[in-house]
Amino acid sequence: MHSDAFDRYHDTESFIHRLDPRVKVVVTIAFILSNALLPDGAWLAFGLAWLFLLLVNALSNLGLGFTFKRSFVALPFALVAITVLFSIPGKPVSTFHFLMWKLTVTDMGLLRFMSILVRSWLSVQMAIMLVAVARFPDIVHALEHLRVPSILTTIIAFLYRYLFVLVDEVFRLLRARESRSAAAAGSRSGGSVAWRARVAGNMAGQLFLRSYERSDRVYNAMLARGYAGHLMTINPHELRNIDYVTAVLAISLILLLQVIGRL
Amino acid sequence: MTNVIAVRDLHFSYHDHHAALKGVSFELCEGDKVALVGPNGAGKSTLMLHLNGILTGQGDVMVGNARLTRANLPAIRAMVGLVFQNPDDQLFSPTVFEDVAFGPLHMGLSRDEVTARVETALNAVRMSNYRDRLSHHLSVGEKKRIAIATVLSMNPQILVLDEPSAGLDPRARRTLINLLRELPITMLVSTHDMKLVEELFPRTIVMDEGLIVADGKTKDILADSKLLEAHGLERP
Repeated sequence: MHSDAFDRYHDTESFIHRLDPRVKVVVTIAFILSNALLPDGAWLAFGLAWLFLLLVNALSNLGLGFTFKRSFVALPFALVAITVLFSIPGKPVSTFHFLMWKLTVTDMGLLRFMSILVRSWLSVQMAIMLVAVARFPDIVHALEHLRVPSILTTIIAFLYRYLFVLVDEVFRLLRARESRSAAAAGSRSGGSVAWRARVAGNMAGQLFLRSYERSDRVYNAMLARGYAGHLMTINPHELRNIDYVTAVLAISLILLLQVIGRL
Repeated sequence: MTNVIAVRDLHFSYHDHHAALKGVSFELCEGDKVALVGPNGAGKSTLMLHLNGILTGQGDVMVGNARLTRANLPAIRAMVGLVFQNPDDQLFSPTVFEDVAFGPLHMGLSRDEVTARVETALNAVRMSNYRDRLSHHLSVGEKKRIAIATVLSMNPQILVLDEPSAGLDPRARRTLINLLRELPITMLVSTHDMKLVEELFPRTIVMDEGLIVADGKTKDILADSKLLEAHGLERP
């Protein structure tokens, strides 16, 4: 049984796919940083950033709407910012009652909220693009080359490797419960909520124990092959001229966005 | 013939004071292919974990001419290639290449040497076109063969395998058996697969309750139905 639920890599041949993973990671981070730094209401710059994103979409051979279609999953997280609607002083736009509070939406608040929404929406799309055009191990390699502390890259690599194993484990547990969740003829299946909660709790505990024991076995397997506290890897990635040119060009465009956003 | 491994009077208890090994002694000569059989909980896996010092109990473990101590652990681990039962425990790197390269890299070899060793090891298990595959996309049979490659790349003196044929379909099992037969290396293999024992291993060690209860020619042991029955084993 495999679970590929988290594998978002799209195997295609394209200009973007061929780039060195370092370029992809650096440009993605620069783009996200740039979005965060653009001032509120810099609509022209936001629009141009979107065009930049579309250009990447086009160059990746995945279709213009590729990231757009996948971007909405992350939008609910932007709702965390909803309080800025009411908390920033400005001209009142509308007032309404929510439970026992009287809430006033201000124009400045609205501006800030819309800007945050657009920023997160653009950033999420670029992140979606990154994992679609770079294989995950390559992203980890890129982080290693970019001098991210090895303890972090190691944790990320292990997380990625065992996420799949753990999810399979969860599915096996759920399936085992499912196949024993029968009902006697004529009676309702399942016990009280409290009982079911206890079963779920036991399953979570079981999962923890299994993972804990597995970590022991994995560590033994590492020791058996000479692990002595420091992880070593070979990752042969070579920056070509086209990588440098693309990186410089992309970063320049992003800087230009910043200038336009501040005019 | 020279001994590759000699174990003398090995005792070991887990933290819960359950005695897993109660005085185990045996020797393996160069070129031996030996099966280790016995019921679950007999101490087979515990014994295997002692052979490269992951567990250390009372008693002597000699690998080559060296007594296993804390100081020579790295050298011993390069000599004893331990393959765990669950390949998901053994394959912890994102890609096949990185996993097979893990051992050689930690032995401090040069990059070219590491790459060459990975190629050789993957060739030996006939998986050379799997280099860049992701471990979690492989089938169990493929994972098992890659797991063997991950220790072959360290050029070990002896291969120690924990239930290699468990959970394999007939074809994957057959491929694995052929592979084990062809590998020109000393081998200690724990298994419940008595057919495999009969087919592949001239010598068999039977363990039960932390002790070696029989050690001899596979032919003789499989003929001794009293012995087999007493220790929960079956004739193939």
